[in-house]
Amino acid sequence: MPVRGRMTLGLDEYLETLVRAGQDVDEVVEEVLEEASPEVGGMLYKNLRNDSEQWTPDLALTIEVDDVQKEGNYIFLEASVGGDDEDNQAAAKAKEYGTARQAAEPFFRPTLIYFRRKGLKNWMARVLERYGLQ
Amino acid sequence: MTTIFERVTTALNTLSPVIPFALALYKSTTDLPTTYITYQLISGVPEQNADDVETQRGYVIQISIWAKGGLVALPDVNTAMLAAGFQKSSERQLPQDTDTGHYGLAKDFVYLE
Repeated sequence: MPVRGRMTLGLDEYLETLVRAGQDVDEVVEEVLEEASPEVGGMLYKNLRNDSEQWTPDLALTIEVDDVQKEGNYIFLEASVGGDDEDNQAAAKAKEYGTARQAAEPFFRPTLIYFRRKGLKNWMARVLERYGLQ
Repeated sequence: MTTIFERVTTALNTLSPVIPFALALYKSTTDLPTTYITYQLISGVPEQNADDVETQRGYVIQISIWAKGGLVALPDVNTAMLAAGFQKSSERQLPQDTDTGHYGLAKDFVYLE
């Protein structure tokens, strides 16, 4: 299994602004995630590259950010590194979490943390500005 | 000011019985201990700002427990870390090291200051 994580948009204050303005919240959230998607991939690549003592471009080629998905009330992006190849999956895990003989070189969790705490808010603010709500 | 690394080492020093630990990577000139712990900073980011001044920072620390005997009986890292003000986050099993035979369990802890 590759290293995998989800980015959801839980920004109550922004969402209330959208509701008050009569906007379709789901539609706007999808728009935000779609626009953020390339930046998520880009930051995964950047963090992977910057945090790697030994650069392994093969692993970078397995960075994937899926299309926006919906499950019930959840709208999310799913990103993964490692793909279907077992060696790449093992390499991604070893980099992210370390092994008994290798310190972790975390690139995935810092990316998730950035987008959960700041990145998605920035994108939401840009979209709201476009709608004249910011 | 107490650094996040001091907070972790203070917490891990309370483990009983004593378990050897080190900032990853655990370096040993002899064989690795049967059970040992490594810790590592994963992320340290501002959580809150007021008037452009950082008022809160969040740290994610990974504690990895390595044990040759498997993962059934492990040092009580949770109690030690919680007592030091950390919050539990995700955890995952790490692949067994084929050379040393150690099994691994990684636990993330969050600290807000």
